Amino acid sequence: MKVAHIEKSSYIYGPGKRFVIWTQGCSIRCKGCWNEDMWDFEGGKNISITEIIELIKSDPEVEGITILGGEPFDQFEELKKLVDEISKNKITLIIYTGYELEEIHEKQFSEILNKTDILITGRYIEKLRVTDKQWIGSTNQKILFLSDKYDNTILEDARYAEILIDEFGKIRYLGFPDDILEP
Amino acid sequence: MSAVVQTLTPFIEKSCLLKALQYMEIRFSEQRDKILIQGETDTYFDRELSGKFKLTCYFYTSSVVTMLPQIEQKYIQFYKEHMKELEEKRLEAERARIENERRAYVEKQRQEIIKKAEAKGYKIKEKRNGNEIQLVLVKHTY
Repeated sequence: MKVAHIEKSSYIYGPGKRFVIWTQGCSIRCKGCWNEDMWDFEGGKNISITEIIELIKSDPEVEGITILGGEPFDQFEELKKLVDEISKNKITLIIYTGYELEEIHEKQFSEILNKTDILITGRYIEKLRVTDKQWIGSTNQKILFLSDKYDNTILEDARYAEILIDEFGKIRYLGFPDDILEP
Repeated sequence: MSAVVQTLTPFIEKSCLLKALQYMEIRFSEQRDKILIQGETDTYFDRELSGKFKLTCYFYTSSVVTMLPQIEQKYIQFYKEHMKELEEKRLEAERARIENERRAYVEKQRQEIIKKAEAKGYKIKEKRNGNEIQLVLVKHTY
C-alpha cells in the first residue's frame, strides 16, 4: 500500500486511541486541500499490509484504525486487503474519503463498507470550510455510522488538534492548521 | 662509553602513592604531607616544593631498595587507573550536561505550546508515548 504517513497513536481522528494511516495518492484533488503533498501517486512509500498489521498489533491499547489520505479508495485492492485483515481483529475502522457514498457504490467499492464502522464522505469544499466540527473539514462532508459500534452520540463538535514533541524537540502537528506554533 | 641515568617516576599524586603502599601491604602513617613507613628507621615520603613525594631514609636497607621499584610500578598502574576514572567521570558529567540541555529545550517547547494553546482557549490533555510528548488540544466554540 502506498502510504504517506502513519501515526501510531492519535486521539483526534475517531473515538479512543487510534492508529492512523494517511494513504498516498489522490485523484480527486480538492481545491484548498491541506494535504496536497499526498496527491502524487509516485510519492510516499510502499508498506506491505502485513507490516501495517504488525505495527497495529504492537499496541494492544489501540481502539481502532483510521484511514485517510490522499484518497484511500484510489488504492481499492490494497485497501480491501487491509480492511479484511483489520476486520479479523477486535478493533474498529474509520475511513475518510472524498467520494460520496453513491460514488462508492457506483465504483463497486461498497464491499468493504460492511467492515467499516464509520465512513466520512465528501469532497473538501474550500468555501464550506469548517474547523470546529469534529472529524470533518467542510460542512458538506457526512459522517456515516455503518455499524452498531458507534452512533452520533459520540460526536462532540469542537476544534481538535494534536501536537507531538519527540525526545529531541521535533514537533508534529496534526489536525486543523492554526497559528499555535507561530512565534 | 655512555651513561644511562634513570630517575624514579615522581610520585605526585598522593592518593595513588598511598594506594600503591596499601597494595604492597606496607604499613604507614600520615602526618600532613609526610608518609611515615613503619618498620623502617626514619623512613618516610615527604612532599618537596616541586610537588613530588621523595623518599628519605636513614638506612637504605635491602628491603627499601627492592620496595621502591615495586612502589613505582604500582604507582604508575594506579595513576593510569585514576586518570581513566577521572576521564570517565568527566565524560559522564559532559553527557549529563548535554542531556539536561536537550531535556530543558524540549520542556521549554512543551511549556510554550501549552501556554499558547491555553491562551487560544484550548483545553489540553497530555499523554506520553515513550519519550514523546503528546498534547491533545480541544477547543469548544459554542
